[in-house]
Amino acid sequence: MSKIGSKSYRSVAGNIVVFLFLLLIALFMVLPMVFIFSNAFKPLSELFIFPPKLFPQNPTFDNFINLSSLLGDSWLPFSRYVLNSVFITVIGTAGNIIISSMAAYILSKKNFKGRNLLFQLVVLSLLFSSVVTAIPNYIIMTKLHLINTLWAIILPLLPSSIGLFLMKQFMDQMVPDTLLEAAALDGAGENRIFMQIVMPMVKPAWLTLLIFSFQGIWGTTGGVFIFDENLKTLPTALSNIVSGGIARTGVSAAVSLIMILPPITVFLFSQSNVMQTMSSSGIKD
Amino acid sequence: MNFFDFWKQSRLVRKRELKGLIFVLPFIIGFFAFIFFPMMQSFIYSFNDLKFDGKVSLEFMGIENYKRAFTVDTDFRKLLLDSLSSMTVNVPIILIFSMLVAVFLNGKFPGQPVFQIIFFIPVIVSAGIMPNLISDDIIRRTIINAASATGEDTSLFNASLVGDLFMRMGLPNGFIEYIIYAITNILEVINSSGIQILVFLIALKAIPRSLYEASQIEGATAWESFWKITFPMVLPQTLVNVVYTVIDAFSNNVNPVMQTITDYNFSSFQFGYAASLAWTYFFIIIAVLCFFVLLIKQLMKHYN
Repeated sequence: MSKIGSKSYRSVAGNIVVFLFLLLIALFMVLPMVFIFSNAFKPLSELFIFPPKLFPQNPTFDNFINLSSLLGDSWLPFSRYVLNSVFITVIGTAGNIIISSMAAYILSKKNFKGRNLLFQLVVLSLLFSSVVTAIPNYIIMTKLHLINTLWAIILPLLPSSIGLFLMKQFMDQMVPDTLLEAAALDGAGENRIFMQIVMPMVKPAWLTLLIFSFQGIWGTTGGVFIFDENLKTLPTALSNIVSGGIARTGVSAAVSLIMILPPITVFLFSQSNVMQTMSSSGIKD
Repeated sequence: MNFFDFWKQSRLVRKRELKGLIFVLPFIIGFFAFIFFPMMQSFIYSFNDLKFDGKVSLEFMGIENYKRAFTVDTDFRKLLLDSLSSMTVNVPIILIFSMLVAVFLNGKFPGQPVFQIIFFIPVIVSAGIMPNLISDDIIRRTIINAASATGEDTSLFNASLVGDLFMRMGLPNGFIEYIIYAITNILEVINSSGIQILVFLIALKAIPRSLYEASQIEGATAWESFWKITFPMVLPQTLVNVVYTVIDAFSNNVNPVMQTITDYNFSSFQFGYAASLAWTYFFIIIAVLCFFVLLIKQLMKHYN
């Protein structure tokens, strides 16, 4: 990394102002997170204190213990819900990235009739409110005999318009056509060009897409497609527990914490990778 | 290219094109089956009265639904106008804010990685069932109370302070009002900027350092090199962010128009009417998006 950073000639005073500005905004943002964390460890009595305290006075694991005993009462082991959610999230996220990257590569680098039309359709579809497509979707799933299977949740998640859009824009900009032509002249096949040249070059883009689809899919409840208790997802199970009223306040605090931990982990993993790629690859210079 | 041309080509080229087809096919199949086809179905529904009890029965009623949306349903018109005006105001604020934060985060200062994580928190907290979880119970009250207790005080303080400052500088009133609006809505702006900051950050990191070094040698100030290098270089990502911001703001579940559509669809089961509202809304979003995209495209032309 060169010593002359893009911002190194900003004055010290300017740096401090920027730092304080960021600190102020960061405080706003971190507040809900701090509350989710600390509420999970507050005893019931402290949860109802007004004005609320930022940190628990007598931290306990009561909420988690209550949660596990509540879950113990339900028909199925907790692991079943976790497994369903993990299955959906892993397949959905991976499929999302692979399918939209492959399509984005062709849309970005190949010329064919209808390319622009297809891309415009995809972008426009992003603007449509998915609420009213619930019934047509239900009918399609019935016709495909997928109602009450996890595939009814996964399949509609796979063609991600926003994923295609994001990947295409980054490929347009980050992958030079000349490089691909050179590789093709050297005899590299499409698979190789895609896997060994294009994807590594847009790694930051698909790592971002990874966070994006993970946190979206992780929260999926399955809605009307799933009736079988066996196939319900973690969010469904957890929101059932939480809907038990004000007595479940402590438990829902624990639930909130459990729900946000995986997306945060994925985010940390992906961002540290993005930073590594950025500083080691040739992208910078 | 037609089918005949296709076979006239050499085997190698044909193979490449088949490969290309295989690459896009999964997306195209999924897109048409689960996105495009349902959209078209709902377009048909919007001209019908729809009953659904396991099976769909349609009763054609022409543009009756649309007529109702525009002439009878005054609430919807009002909601539409409200969301439209708040959008044209919010989109630029969100873009400017996320660009600003991304530029700051791109610099080197103590705790930079921590800040980067913090700025992504809203995306996580507001995703999936989290809002439902939070909204159901006291946590929500706690957070909202806490946020508004600290948020309001600080932003009011800021707003009057900044407003005062700008008055003294003799800036036009409209501009001052805009800035004050931005500051008082800072929480909302912050909450909808997570992805945009990330996208800008990637774009910023991809700018070759040599450009900055060269401009520094030429004696350019930081301000100049921002407008001459940074800004034009991130314009493509600005386009991405414009599209994303408009989509996010319009299709967000807390958006009043979306809530109305959801209510008609799932509470009063007026599926046909809900579909017609969705389509009306859809065309309006397209208009807004076109406006912003053309604006950015003009800027890109200007720099090329």
